[in-house]
Amino acid sequence: MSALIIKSGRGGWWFLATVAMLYAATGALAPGIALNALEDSWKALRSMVPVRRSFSRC
Amino acid sequence: MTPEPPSEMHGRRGKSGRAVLQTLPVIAGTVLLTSLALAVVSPDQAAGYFGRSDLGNALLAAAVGSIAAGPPLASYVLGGELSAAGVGLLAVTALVVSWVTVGLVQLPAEAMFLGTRFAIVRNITSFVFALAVAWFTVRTLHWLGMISS
Repeated sequence: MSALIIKSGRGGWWFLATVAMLYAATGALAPGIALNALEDSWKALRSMVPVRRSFSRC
Repeated sequence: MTPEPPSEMHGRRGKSGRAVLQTLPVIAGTVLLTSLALAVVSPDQAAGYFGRSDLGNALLAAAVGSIAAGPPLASYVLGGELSAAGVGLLAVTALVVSWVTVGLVQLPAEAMFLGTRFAIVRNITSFVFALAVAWFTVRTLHWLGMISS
């Protein structure tokens, strides 16, 4: 479903909004799980930065 | 080599900017979704569900590996824990291979960049081949005499 949404122009933002709603629902039911997931996501996103830097040197 | 006209360069920058803007939410969404999936069903929790037949364990392990995402190192740790708990090598190999080759959580992102049909077919094929590779690995180890059963 989300793959089909993404196919249309601004689908990426809809996908992110859907994920945000999932987080909101999880956060309402189990705030600890949502917070842990957010923390892990932040670490994963931060770990992508050195890759971008190494590309910029090319 | 003559420099490009400014209008052409601006056009390309505009295109790149749009592409980045379209890609950014998909990457962020995929990372967030992966973390949420791993937080809801942690690998340790998944380990508790094993204990059926060899084929049942292999199918379950391949399913867990398909849903779970993250560094392959995490699958080695989980595979080691499962192996220590007495789960067969068929299931452990299926887990490790499907963890690396199948990505259900990243399917939307893969579909965006490579096409929906390609993403679905690739993931299904990878799932089937993860089981096949697991079977061949166990058969090979058995044939080499490295495992007894």
